[in-house]
Amino acid sequence: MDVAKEKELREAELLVEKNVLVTTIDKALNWARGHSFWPVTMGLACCAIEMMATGDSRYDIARFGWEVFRASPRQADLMIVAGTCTRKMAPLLRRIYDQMPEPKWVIAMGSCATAGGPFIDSYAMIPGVDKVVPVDVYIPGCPPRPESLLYGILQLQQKVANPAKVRLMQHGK
Amino acid sequence: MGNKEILRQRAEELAAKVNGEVEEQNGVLVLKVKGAYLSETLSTAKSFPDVPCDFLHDLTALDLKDHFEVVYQLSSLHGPQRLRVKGTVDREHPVVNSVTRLWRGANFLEREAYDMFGIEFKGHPNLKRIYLWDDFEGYPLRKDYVTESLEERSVVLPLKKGE
Amino acid sequence: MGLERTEELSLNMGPQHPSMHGVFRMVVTFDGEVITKIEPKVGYLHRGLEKLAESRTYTQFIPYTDRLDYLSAPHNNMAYVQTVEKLMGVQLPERAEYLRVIFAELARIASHLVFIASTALDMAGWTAWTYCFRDRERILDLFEMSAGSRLTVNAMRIGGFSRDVPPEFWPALKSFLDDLPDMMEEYFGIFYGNEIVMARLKSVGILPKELAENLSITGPVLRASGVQYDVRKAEPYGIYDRFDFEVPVRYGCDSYDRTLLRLDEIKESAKILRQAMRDIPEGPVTAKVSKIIKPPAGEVYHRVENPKGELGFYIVSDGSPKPARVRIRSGTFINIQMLPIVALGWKIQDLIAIFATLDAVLGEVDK
Repeated sequence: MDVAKEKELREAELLVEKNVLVTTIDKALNWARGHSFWPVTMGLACCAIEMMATGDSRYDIARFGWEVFRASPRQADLMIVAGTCTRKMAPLLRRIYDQMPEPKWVIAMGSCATAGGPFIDSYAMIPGVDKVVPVDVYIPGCPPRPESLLYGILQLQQKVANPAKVRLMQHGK
Repeated sequence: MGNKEILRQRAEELAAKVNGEVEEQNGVLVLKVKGAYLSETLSTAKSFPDVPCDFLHDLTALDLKDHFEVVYQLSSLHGPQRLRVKGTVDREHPVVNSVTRLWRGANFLEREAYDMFGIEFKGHPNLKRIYLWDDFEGYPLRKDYVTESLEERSVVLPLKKGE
Repeated sequence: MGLERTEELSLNMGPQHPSMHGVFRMVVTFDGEVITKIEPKVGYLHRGLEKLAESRTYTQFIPYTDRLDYLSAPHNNMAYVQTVEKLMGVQLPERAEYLRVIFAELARIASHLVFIASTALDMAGWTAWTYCFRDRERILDLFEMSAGSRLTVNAMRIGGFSRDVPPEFWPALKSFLDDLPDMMEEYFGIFYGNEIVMARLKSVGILPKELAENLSITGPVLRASGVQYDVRKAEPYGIYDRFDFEVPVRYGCDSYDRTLLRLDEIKESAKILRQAMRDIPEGPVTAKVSKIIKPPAGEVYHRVENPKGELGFYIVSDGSPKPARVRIRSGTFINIQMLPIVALGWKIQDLIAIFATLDAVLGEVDK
């Protein structure tokens, strides 16, 4: 299936919710989702080490509520693709994404996941993980500092809490 | 006689037996032979008296324009001797004897050389691609390999059964 | 006597799993709970570095070497630039050589700390993980002070360093070295002295000496099987022949010795660091090299003692600014071959423990 089409459909789904009356329950649910992401450990390469360093005692990710890194995708709702995704690994990445239950989000961490990174002209590379799964937040860096990762997840938290406002921001209004 | 001189003497004797030549590159003796004589050369080098080169560091290949060269880096854990053995192989039908019966550690290395260059190692227990997926076409490290364009590489491969 | 039939179970321990090593896949066949066959499948992180090297200049390739064994990045830098300098015959100033040794040994300590963390994590001991990463942050601070990046440092250049370390480096290094013995005490208390750890690792996964030599295994895995071989002593590179340190060896050949050996190595690295800090002279940190690096035609194979094994670079140059062939001989790629042989007959949790003591980093295995 075409990943770009899938992303469009997801954004359109958010738009439908905007037209319906947004009740307090919905807002509360979105607040709760944003404050307790359960990431699935998709650490592939060097960015995974920075992701792990975010979880240790200096850049504590537990103060935000996201320290529960689940190994099984069936119990997670956020996939942080940290590291290089090669052509051999891409179908497995898609399969893990498909195994996650809704609602789910994807963060592409690092320049290899965002756009192929320094290995872009290699025969074994996919130019960016957004050809495989629809990505919500891109975090550049090689590897991004733990503070960058925290900022990226905070942006995602904003997107989950106020999907309409973020969509307007994306269109430059 | 020092270790280096003994090694050079043995290497030259061996070269005379297998029609090879000995030269020195940046302080290391290099023994160049034809691909067909490689297994004999390597097993003799492994059991040189006084200076056995019994530890295999690396096995790789080079693509010189008209032929391949399979390069073996040998040395020893119990002595300072170092030897590099190079075997020339034809480009059209690159076939060499495997050295897995001499060094078990050559297993993965030969699979990698096969994956990257297409050199076939006769007698290898499991000669399959190791780094790239099984349906990959071409041998990437050859000089005439053309990397596919970005669009072709963006297509996600289908998942095979058993993966 | 019923119609009972037992079959072998083939389990795929897939590329995505909760351990910290990366995208490593094994297809394991069991008879009950006992392992009968293991087939490691690598290549899920293969990025084609050797092919990329042919289209980059020598200096442009240095950041790529960082990403090989990303836990000890300065060490990989050092291996590569020393190979090119050997080809070119460049002589470095003294201060640069000492700084290289300091960076390399700091990288070794950092890598071994992650080893302790990941071994503990594979056996579900979260505490050791947090302790080790906290102490590792101090080393990463030192790297960040001098090179700007925490993980993939890219500190070295062909001919030395791009710039000198700032004056805050030395007090920070001294305080780290002073606190190191207490930290090691803590690790021993939390992790190594623990009965459960000992029961899980002692006598598990025996790797006999002859098999290790035949399999071309190098690094701490070889030294835990009784072979005292270290590239820093066998063929010293840089100025390692000026330092007074020992090469720790253990003769138990089992997983517990493989883990204990790395603790010994941290102690030896601390010794080298103190000597380097004491003896480092003032002076320039880079030799005079031309802007465009064009080594003369030839080939060279140079190796260093990476924390994980032996990292070797075989570079063939044809006189142009881009290399004709760069071959990366990574230690862990060859060390993984011991897994299908050594882990036969053990149970699955022992397999995890044995693989953890191998200390494989998939960036290096897959290049």
